[in-house]
Amino acid sequence: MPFLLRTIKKRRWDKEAWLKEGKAKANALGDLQPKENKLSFWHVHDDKSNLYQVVAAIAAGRDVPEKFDYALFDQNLLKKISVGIDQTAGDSFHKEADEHWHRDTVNLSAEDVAEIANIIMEHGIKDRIWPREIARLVKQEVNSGAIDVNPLKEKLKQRGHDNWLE
Amino acid sequence: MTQRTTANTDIEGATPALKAFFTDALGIPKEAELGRLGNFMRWRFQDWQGTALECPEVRLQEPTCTTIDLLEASNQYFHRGPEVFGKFVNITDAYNVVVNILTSEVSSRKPQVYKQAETSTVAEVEQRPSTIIQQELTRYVEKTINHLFESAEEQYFENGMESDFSRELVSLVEKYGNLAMSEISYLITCGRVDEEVASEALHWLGRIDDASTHGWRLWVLEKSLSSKSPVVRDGAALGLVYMGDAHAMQYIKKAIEQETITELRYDLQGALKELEASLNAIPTTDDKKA
Repeated sequence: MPFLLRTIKKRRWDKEAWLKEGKAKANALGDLQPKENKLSFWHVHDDKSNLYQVVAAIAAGRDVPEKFDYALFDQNLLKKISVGIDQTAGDSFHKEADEHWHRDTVNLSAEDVAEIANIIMEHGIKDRIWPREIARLVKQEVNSGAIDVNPLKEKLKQRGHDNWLE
Repeated sequence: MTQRTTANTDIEGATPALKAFFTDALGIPKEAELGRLGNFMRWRFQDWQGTALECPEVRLQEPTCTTIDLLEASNQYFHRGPEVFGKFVNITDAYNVVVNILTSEVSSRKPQVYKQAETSTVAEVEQRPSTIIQQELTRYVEKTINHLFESAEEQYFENGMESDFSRELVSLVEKYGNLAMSEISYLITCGRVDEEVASEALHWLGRIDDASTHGWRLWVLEKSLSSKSPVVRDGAALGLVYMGDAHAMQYIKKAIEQETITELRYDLQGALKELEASLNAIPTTDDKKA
């Protein structure tokens, strides 16, 4: 049961009294903006053993160490709506993540996107990782050599004090 | 005979400096306190909503607000003593005091222009004797910030990424200091901007490293924890985490108690833990020496 991870803004996924069970709010679609009718996800192993590596991969591409809101859901749930999933190259600074863990859901209709939103709303885990932990995760991946520190944004590297990633 | 506007004074929601000002307005004025407030008060009419109709002496028309010299305001209105409180409709911050003022007094004021203001900073203007130039600067900053927030409604804000909005916001606060914070505070606390934009602004305000605006930024962040919008409340909590001021802890604890959305209450608890951890991690003087 592998998972798919997508970054979100958590408040868009809060339950509301007026919302029907299993339905996502319209605002949640703001976190599911397709490009060329594709949505980008990251693969997370059944045991979630690579979860924090994926998080670090995404966070390392940001300007600043920011809180990290994400949704995680069972990839098999997409079979219900017959959405195709392709393994494609990622665009982070984490070599392993880019080579092995990036996924695109392809040929999406507007209805498919809405259904994915409903699946995330009903079955997804929505969680937040705070900046201090994000900084620790990125540093861990930099130290292990999984992330090359050189191409990272200057502001990220400067976080609070110089050379925190070294 | 005119009907007096019902007072709706919320002095508890005012900044500490503003509370001190009102205290002094009823007692012995202290120039030092006035100085902390800045040089201007802005009198807004568009905020009257309902109360204005009870006050036939006021004819709402454009422009619906004006900015006047604080000392002038003090001399003209505050010497009247406790009655002045009967005239306050709302208090948003040190610059935004909504009062019952005759429209004729507004319209008789000379029109103000924005020339020179664009190239002036607070420091430059403070060196000039003319309050007119200060008024121009105030209105220029208000106009610029209003435009910034309006145009940001079309932007998509990605977590952890700077945007044109965040860069310009930080730049304006750094350049114009509390003058900028006054307008930003007004727009956010009065709910005059899109909630996503307000939330984005709040968390970037928490990131700014500037002692001169620390008090204002802390105030608007703490105040925004009680916003009607959960998106704004969340942005305020994040901003307070980044700001790293222990003063905010009591406000976050109160927000946790009052929060009705389960998921947001959980995140507010997370914000409190994150802030506590940040404060505990700050090296003491002894640590630095070691």
